[in-house]
Amino acid sequence: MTDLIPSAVLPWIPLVMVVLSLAAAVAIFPMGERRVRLRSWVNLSAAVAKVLLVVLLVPAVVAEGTRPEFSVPFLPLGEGESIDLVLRVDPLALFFAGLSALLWLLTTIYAIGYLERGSDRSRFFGFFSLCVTATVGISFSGNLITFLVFYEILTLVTYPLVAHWGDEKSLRAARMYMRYALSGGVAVLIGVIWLTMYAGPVDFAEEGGAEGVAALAAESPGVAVTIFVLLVGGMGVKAALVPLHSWLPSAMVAPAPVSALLHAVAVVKAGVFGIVRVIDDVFGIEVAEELGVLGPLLAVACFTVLYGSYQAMRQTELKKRLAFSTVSQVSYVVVGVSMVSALATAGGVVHLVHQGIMKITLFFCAGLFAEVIRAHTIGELRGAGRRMPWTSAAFTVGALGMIGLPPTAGFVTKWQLGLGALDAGQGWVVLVLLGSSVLNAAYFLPVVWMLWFAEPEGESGEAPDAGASDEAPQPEGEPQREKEPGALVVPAVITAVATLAVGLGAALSFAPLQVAEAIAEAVFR
Amino acid sequence: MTTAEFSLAGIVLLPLLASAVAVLLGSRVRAVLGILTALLICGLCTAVLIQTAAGGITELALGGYEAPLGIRLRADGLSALFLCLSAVVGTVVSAHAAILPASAGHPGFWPLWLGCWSGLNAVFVSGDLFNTYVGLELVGLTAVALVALGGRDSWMPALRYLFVAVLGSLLFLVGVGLILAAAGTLDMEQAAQQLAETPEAHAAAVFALCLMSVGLVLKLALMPMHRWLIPAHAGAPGAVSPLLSALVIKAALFVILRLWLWVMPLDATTEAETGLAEGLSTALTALAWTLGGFGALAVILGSVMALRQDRLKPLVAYSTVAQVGYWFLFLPLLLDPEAGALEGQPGTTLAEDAVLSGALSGSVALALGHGVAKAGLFLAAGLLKELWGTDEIESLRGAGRRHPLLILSMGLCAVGLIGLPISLGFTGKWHLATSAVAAEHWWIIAVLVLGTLLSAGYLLRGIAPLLLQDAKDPQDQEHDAAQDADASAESPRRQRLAEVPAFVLGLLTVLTGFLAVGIDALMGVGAPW
Repeated sequence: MTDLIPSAVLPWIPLVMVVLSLAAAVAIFPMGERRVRLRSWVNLSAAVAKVLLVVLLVPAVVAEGTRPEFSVPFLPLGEGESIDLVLRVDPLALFFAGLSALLWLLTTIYAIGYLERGSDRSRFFGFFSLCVTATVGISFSGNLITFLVFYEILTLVTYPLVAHWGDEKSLRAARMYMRYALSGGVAVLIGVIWLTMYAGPVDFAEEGGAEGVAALAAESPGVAVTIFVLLVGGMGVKAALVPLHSWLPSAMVAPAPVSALLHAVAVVKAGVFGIVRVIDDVFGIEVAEELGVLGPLLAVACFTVLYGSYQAMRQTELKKRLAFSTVSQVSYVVVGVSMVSALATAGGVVHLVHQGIMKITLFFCAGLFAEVIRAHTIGELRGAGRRMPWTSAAFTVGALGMIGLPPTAGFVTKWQLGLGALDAGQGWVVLVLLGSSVLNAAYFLPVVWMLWFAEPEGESGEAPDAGASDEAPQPEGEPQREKEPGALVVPAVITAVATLAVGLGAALSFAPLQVAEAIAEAVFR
Repeated sequence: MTTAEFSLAGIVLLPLLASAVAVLLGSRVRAVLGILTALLICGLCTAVLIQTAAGGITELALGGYEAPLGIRLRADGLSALFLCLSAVVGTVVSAHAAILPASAGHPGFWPLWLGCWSGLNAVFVSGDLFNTYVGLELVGLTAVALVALGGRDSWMPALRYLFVAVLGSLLFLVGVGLILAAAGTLDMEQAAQQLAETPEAHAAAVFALCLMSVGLVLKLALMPMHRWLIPAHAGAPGAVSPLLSALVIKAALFVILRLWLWVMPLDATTEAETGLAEGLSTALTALAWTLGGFGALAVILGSVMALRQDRLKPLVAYSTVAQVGYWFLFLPLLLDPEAGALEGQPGTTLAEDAVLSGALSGSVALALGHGVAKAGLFLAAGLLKELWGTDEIESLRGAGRRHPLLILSMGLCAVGLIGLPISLGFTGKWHLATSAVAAEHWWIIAVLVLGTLLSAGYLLRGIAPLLLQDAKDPQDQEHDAAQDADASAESPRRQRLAEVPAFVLGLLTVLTGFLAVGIDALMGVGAPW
């Protein structure tokens, strides 16, 4: 299989993948507003190329164990040495990069449709590509410094996306986001500096943490714990761990594709991905366990799972409900990796992808509801199922996945996490998982019920925003089927199908679960 | 005479000559001459840079007379770095002034700026203290005149600036006299040697250092002495403020670095027989801590003041005040460069001077990064003021729609000023923080964290409203009308072109972030350890 990519080219591929979306951004920024076709073409071809590269890398990295690596000297460190910017492809990196490449493609299609008549599209798509550049950089980071660099870049390039509409509300949300993310970034920076000075430059080690860190943990555990708290706390801001989550629901003012990307791959996931890296590849799970930091983290994550669900239940606005649902769902990953068990780690890692696919489906649908029938609150979704069947079906699949019903992806995660909890001797976590499922059901099922079974309200138009129904006068009582724009509905349906597919095909080789299990096994060696 | 030696004389004399010639020319030709000179300076700087990067210190004894009799020009790593900064920023800003003559305020800009440039380069390559004084004086006086180009409103600030500059120079000159008396030479290298060998001269040297530091700090506008800077930098014409903030204050910083690290016998503190006497050592420590403390104060209070500004240019000026503070944080580290915290840790094993060199590289990286980024930000702010007739943030709402490139440049510059990766600001903070951790100076970390967050706050406050899009439509049209009226004076194409220099500086802010390793290597050439 090495024939697919000559080995001389291999080290350059991670760089190419980062540069690909960067180049797309650079090409898009100066384009005129009206050059829709050219812009879409550049965007889509870069996205497709990225997906192809990931597919090419999978056999070499996962099956054959090669680790393509690219590095440039970045920061000097003492005599003639330096800390490098390292891009390295290991299975976990590829796992995350694959998710971001695939969802970038779908979200780009969606966004092209969504912003058809919008303004500032060149700026939007430019920063969108930059956002993906940062995400890919994060996934390929081979050491903490590289991670930090891309992590901060991600913070910056997301700001214009959140502030895209340019009204007071967006700017306020963006400012809040910036405040949270920068504070988190500074915490991570301090942690990295401290760790570098005390334990040497830290490369991500696939197999159980870096040596220097283990030595530091043995020598002065107090410092090691402080550094762990700084790193995980800083990343916890992006990962929206309670109590650091408030920025996420307010960032909902961003355009739907941005929310979708933010919640599924970019910002929130970057935070969680970082936490996975810190626990598994910097400290090593055994060292972290000895330091006694995993217990408290697990408790925080479990609390976040329940609290997020509880808050989600109290929201009447669909996007807000989804946002709190993200707070809850993303913490599953942290729950998984903070239990000392290969099964649990695999469950946590696989949820990186599973949650991404499911949540992006839901956000695509939320955007569709908002665009087509101007439905922003749950109440306005009455009877939408008959007006927008495809969207509603996709939404239903996503919602069922979130609840964790078989045969969706969500079920696989929860099953795996439950097994892991028992394996790690933390039976109470199963109760948390069950409780969360009940809560998930409690806030998603009413929406699904609204979609399919609630009678649409009369045309009196109580809903404040029922403007769209004016355009298409409907016969009394019989809801008319709306036209669902293809560019918007197709990505949603694809991700919905994927939600089912990764659930059903979890046992196939190269399925997310299998890759996640391989990664987890490497962590426990 | 090698190329590098020739260049060394050239970068000082060429702009001086050009300045004199420019007075005789018409205003249009002046711009052409200015650009030509700038390009030539870039070429000459490259020659010096190449020589230095190869590990050689470039020296030139003018007229063949060696020190202490003659005047020696000398370029080591530190000089080369600051020369490059002045060459790059100077050229880009000159291009801006040439594209948009209005931003220069007055045709008098060219001779004054070229004279100032000559002074800057003289300071950077000067090998003896008197020459440094002359260079500083040239820079100071031309800078005052440049401020005054802003029109009647900027005369008061210019006058205030003049007093400060003259007072600073005076203190510096007294210090130079003291060192001459104590060491018997003005040449820095020889003076350093003399001072290290003769303990009797230490008292005079420390006193001189105090005087000179205070004088230079006045010119640098360190916190309690910062008041003059705000109206001067904010009130100067669009093309002048970037030069003042990015380059002019760097001359004083450069001299401070030279004095503290190259001239003073700090090494002697460790050796018993030639060491500083108890009292002197205390005095020196007190001075270092005072300046470091002022630096911390500047970072925090300067940022808070910047947060409270309603106008763009004063905001940027206060940001300069805040950033100046960063460059003084390393002084307390100088006197206590033991990597105590790392004893017995499994981590990085540091070379003996790693704390010192790291702290110095960090401060220099911060200063260089600030030069590029602040020039870009001031250029953009000045251009916005030029185009919209005001720099009140409230009335600039929505300016981003008309000038996306300008806002992008401001964003890139902000990255450097906040110290986010990838930029020299980040590199500098990294260096400074690692040294602080190694030497257990935790307060530096606290200042860096606060400074970073506050700077993000004020820059966001300045830039974000420009992105607002809810500007009322009629108002928008009014602006359009005003714009069209303006446009008759300067063609719109020229205005578009004028956005490019700021963008170049923005790009450079980020790209220079990759040069950290090279800068560190350059700092090692002719380093004091």
